[in-house]
Amino acid sequence: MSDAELSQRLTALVRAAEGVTAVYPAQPPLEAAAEVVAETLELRPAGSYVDVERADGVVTVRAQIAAADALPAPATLRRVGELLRRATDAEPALAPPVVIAVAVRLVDAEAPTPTP
Amino acid sequence: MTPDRTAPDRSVPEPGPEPGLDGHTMAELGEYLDRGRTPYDPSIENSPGCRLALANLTRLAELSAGLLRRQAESEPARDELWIAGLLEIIRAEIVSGRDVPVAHPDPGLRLTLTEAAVRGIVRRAGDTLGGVVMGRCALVGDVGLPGAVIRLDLSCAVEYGRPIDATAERLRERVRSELARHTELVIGAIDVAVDDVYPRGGAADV
Repeated sequence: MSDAELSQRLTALVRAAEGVTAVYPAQPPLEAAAEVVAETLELRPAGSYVDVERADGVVTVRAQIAAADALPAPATLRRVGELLRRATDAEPALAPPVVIAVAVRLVDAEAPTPTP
Repeated sequence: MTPDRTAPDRSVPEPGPEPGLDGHTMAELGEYLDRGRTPYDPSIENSPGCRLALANLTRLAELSAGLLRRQAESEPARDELWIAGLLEIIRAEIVSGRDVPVAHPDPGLRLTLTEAAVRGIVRRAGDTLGGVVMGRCALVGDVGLPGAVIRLDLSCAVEYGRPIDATAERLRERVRSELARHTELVIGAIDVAVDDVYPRGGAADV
């Protein structure tokens, strides 16, 4: 599985986690903009917001989320982190060490905005 | 003639993307809100900074409507300045800022909330309390160091007729409770400066 496909799978996993109301691009803004272009050109699967980076023998998986106000944000963070840990442990393409970084960018009290 | 350097700078800033808003401006977000968030704009709705700003602007818009309803009996110029000041604070607070850690026994798991998310929790706690409109929300201290005691520096306006001390104490309790639920920060003092009073009904819908 390529990193792009893995990112897409991990994004779907995080998006479905209890307490998560949104997943945001975890890449730096310029890189995220390039991702949008790549998705538009169909060079990369859409919805690949979880970043998988390999550098100096370490794999870093980054996710940025909005957490529902109805649940404590630390519980949501731990749930997402542990989900990603289980998923990466089960992925043969990812050799340890794998660092997982999850950030809550927003604690969301709004009802989800319906997407068209 | 020598320019008066003590006068506040009231020049209109150059339009353009603002920090934390992923290429958008507060003016664009205001227009988007005015249109009822239609047509749906994914570049706004999928931006955490924009979503934080939208939530804050929505509460402020509701307050502004209340203020306009009683414009004849108030001081509109003063209200405009006050709202402009609040907009400046909201604009500054949506920048992500520092990382606020959440502990986990797995050392390979790095769990954090952004400082902007924490400020958003504090602001909403105050704005939804009733009788309070939040101003400044600052986290003072080393928020990145687990267990470090930090201080909150808050300012707010209180609805006319409400007891200041009791309202400030309710605000402290609400903020402390929300931060205990959503963060692992150790909160020491919560300093509340009541720097304005607004007429009854001005924030009734906030």
